[in-house]
Parts: sequence; C-alpha cells; structure tokens
Amino acid sequence: MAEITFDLPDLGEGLQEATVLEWLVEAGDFVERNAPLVEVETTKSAVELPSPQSGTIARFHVQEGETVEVGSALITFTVSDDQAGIVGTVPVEEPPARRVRLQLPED
Amino acid sequence: MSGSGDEDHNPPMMFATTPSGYRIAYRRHPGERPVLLVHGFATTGELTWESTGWVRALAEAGRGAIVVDLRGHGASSSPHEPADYSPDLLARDLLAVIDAEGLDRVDVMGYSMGSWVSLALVALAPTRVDRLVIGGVGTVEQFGHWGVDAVRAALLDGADPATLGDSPLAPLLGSIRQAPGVDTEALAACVAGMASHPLPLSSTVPTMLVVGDADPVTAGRDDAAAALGAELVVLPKRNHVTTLSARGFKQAALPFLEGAVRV
Repeated sequence: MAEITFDLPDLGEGLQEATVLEWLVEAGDFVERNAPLVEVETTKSAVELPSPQSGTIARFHVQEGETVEVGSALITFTVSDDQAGIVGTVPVEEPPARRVRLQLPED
Repeated sequence: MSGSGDEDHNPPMMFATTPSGYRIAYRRHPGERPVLLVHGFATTGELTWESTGWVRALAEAGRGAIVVDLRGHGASSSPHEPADYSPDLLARDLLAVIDAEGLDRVDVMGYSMGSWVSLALVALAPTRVDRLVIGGVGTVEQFGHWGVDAVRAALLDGADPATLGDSPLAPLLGSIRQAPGVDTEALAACVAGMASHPLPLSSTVPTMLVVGDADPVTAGRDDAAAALGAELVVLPKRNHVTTLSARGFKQAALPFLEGAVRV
C-alpha cells in the first residue's frame, strides 16, 4: 500500500485560499474518483470538489472551518501499489458507479 | 481535482430561440427525467449548478439536468432595456428551452432570483412543471428592498456598494464589475425590470423551499412557505452562498423530486 497526498487545487480567478465547509467523506471510507469529496468556500462562491483519486481516505490535513492556501496539503489517500504506480498519468475516464451516500438529514 | 475537472466532458452549449428572437443558452446533461436548473442574479448556470455539485448529485440519482443561462446572463442574449426583464418574461425563456428539448413536463429547481423565475414558470405553464424546489428566497424582493438606484449605481458607476449596507448584494456587486464577460448594462436592466413586477408568491405544484439559517435574503421564509404551500427546509449556519452547495440541500431536494415523503 502507498499514500498519496493532494493539495488544494487552483480554484481560478486569482483566489489564494479557501475554507473547508464540510468534508463529504470520513477517514476510512473508500472513495471513487469524481465522487463528492469536500465542500469549500472562497470569497466569491462555494464549490464542491470531486475526488481526484479512487482510494481509502487516510487523513485530513484541514478541519472543517479552517482555511487552507492553494497548494497546501488537503487530504491523504491510501491506495494500492498498482494505483500508486500510475500516478502522473491521465486517469481513464469511467462512468462513476452509483454510490448511495445520501441520507436523510438527522433532524 | 479542480472543480472544473468535468469540463472536458461537458455536453455542448445549446441554444433555444424565443418568440422574440432571443437566444437562450443551455446544456443538457444526460440522464432520465432531466431537472431544469435556474440560477440567480449575476451568475451563470455553470457556476450555480455545476461547480456546486448539483449536476453530479442528480446524475448519481439517475437524473439528467438542463442547465440554462437566464437572459442577461452567461451565453444568453442580453438586452439592455428594463422592459425586457420580468419574472414572466424569463419564465417564457425557460418554456422555450423545455419546448426545444421536446419535453412535456419537467421538475424545476431555482435559486434566489431563479426561484422567482421558476414560480413564474409554474404560473405561466402549470401543466409543464411536475415538482418544484426553490431556495434562497423569503417574501422580500431584494432589488427594491435595497434600492434599485443604489444597485444600478453600484453596477454601472462603480459606486461604493457599502451603501447597500449588509445586503448580500454588496460583495456580489463589488466583484461583478471586475469579472470578465459580465454585461453590467444587462444586469442593471434586469434589476430595474425584475423590481417593477410583483413577486409570484404562489404555486400550484408540489413545492419545497430550502433556505440557510444565516441568510437575510430569506426574511419571511415561514410566510413564503405558507403562501406557497411548500415544505420548508432550514439549513443551520448556511448563508446565501453556502446554502447552494450544502449537502443538506441535496439530501432534502433529491428525495423530494422523487416524490418521497420526508420522515
């Protein structure tokens, strides 16, 4: 097994930082590429970032409510060695399998 | 992992032509029973519904989406006369898109000003809308509330939007004037036109109203929900911007669109 860490990507429009509103996954979850990963707020908008990677969530580097700069570590995945070996290549686009993560609110 | 990661796979921009000859831009995202998504003031369909994860969430639920740019916004025609803007006129543009797609009936979601346009669509063509989810509104028309002249001055002359007090419009207007490709004359006409018509605060179809607990734009939300006969969902700690991307919004709206009864 190997670990891959992803940084906060450039969100465009010269924005330098974003605040994590809500993590949409939990440590230990297996997440597929392009599944909802995290909701962040910038000075201009709120956006939902999809997962750049299929893998298991190892740990978060930013807690909800904290601000992170573009290029700073956001999240670390645990992936198989096979997957780790292909990082840096263009991922094959596959239709995402249907994931049933939606739950009714607890209230 | 930028939010634009799906752009390469975006369906092409399409255009519906209205009876008056305006072109209304939209994208048809694949999937069954597409939901018509209607953005608010001074933004675009893409920023409102794609960046925030809505198109993705609908796709995961098996639903398609039709993401439009309202007239005066994005890639759609942008007339500069206030007389070209009203909830009803913008709703007629939506009807042109529904017709262009050959759809008899659609579910509709609107946010902020797009909520009023969506309600106008229900009034205009009640048999064409199945279920309606709106958000980010209460009983107060915002442009009139903050002053049409002040909003227009902030848009056109760069007047200090601080004169708009704690309006959520203030930071919005501050950034709009620097944004590339934004037609401020069209937006100013939109402000004047929309404010000169009464809010279409009624609905004849199953309706849900979703608001952020920390969003002053939604003042009167309880009265609005009552007038609409709508189910009201209040999201804790969310403001006018962050309501839109909230997981709680999706968790409420998606089952509602399927006709599910909330427990």
